Amino acid sequence: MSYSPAPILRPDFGQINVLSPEALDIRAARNVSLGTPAAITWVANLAVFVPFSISSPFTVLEVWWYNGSGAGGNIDVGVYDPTGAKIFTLGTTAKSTVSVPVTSSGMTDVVLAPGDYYMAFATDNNTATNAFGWAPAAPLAAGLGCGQMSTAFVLPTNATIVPLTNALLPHFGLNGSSVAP
Amino acid sequence: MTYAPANQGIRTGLWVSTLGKESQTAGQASVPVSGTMTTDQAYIVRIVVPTPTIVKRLYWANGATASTNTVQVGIYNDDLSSFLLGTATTSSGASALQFDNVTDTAIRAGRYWLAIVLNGTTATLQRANNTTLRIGSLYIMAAARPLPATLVPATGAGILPLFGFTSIA
Repeated sequence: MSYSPAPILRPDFGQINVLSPEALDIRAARNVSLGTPAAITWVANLAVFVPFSISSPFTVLEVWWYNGSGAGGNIDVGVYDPTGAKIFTLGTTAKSTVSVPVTSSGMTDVVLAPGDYYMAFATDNNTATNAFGWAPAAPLAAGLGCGQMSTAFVLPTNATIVPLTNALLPHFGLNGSSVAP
Repeated sequence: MTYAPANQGIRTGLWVSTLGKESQTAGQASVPVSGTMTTDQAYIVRIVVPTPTIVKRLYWANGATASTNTVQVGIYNDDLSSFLLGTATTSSGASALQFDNVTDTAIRAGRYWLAIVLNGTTATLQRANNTTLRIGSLYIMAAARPLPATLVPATGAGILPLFGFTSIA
């Protein structure tokens, strides 16, 4: 008879980000050179999608991202189902102070049922070092399931997600705690 | 009252790969680069599937040189018997993922092995190269093309290609 282990139980951390066990997992991320994040230069209107999976409901109170050192532009963050259908998006939001983490405010709570999703990040400009994250060589992050869509600002209702080819992966996530990241 | 979050199980990701969280090699921090594989030698990696899912596509990450050689990926049960064998497919698309669409196949939670074999050394794959990778997680099998009904793993060099399966069509 095949070995069938019981699921390993552990609480979530109150937020889900690129490195969370629900997403790429920091151990796996190390395999594709995701070390300390740093300022990166985005491709205007490019959206990047990071897969994550949850086994119990997760309430998204707000979303967060990390501004790069280059000023200007707008960002959008959201969640999609595996087919590319939008669950929710923040909508275009002006970036504020450079080089700091930013948490949205006033977002309507969204309860994600157990299942598989993509979280998405896009920004509408390519000012030097305007974003913050990593630059894994293609197709390494794609091999962990990361995807992208060009001309996707604001984040669309239906996304066509293809394997990530740009060496860009943002540091962002979903906040399910009253304490901002 | 102290915050007590609900227990959360580890759910199988949409993408399961040799470098992903379902693999014991996760965290070895040996970043893959383009490189050749030994002809007809299977590279075998232990994985754990935490919850049931559907295998819809097998995939691998091509290196800087694609074409000429074929690539075959397979999934094996914990007892080393074949679970799902893909079709040997000519390498195509340099430095990009390549997919082998398979009949949707339900896979239960449990231990499995992923295996990959190429029929030559022209095509390259994205692969890590670190001898510590092989401890308990990475094995080889010579003369294993096409992928056999039963694997016979042996220890070998610590070359770990990036490949796996996805539940996304």
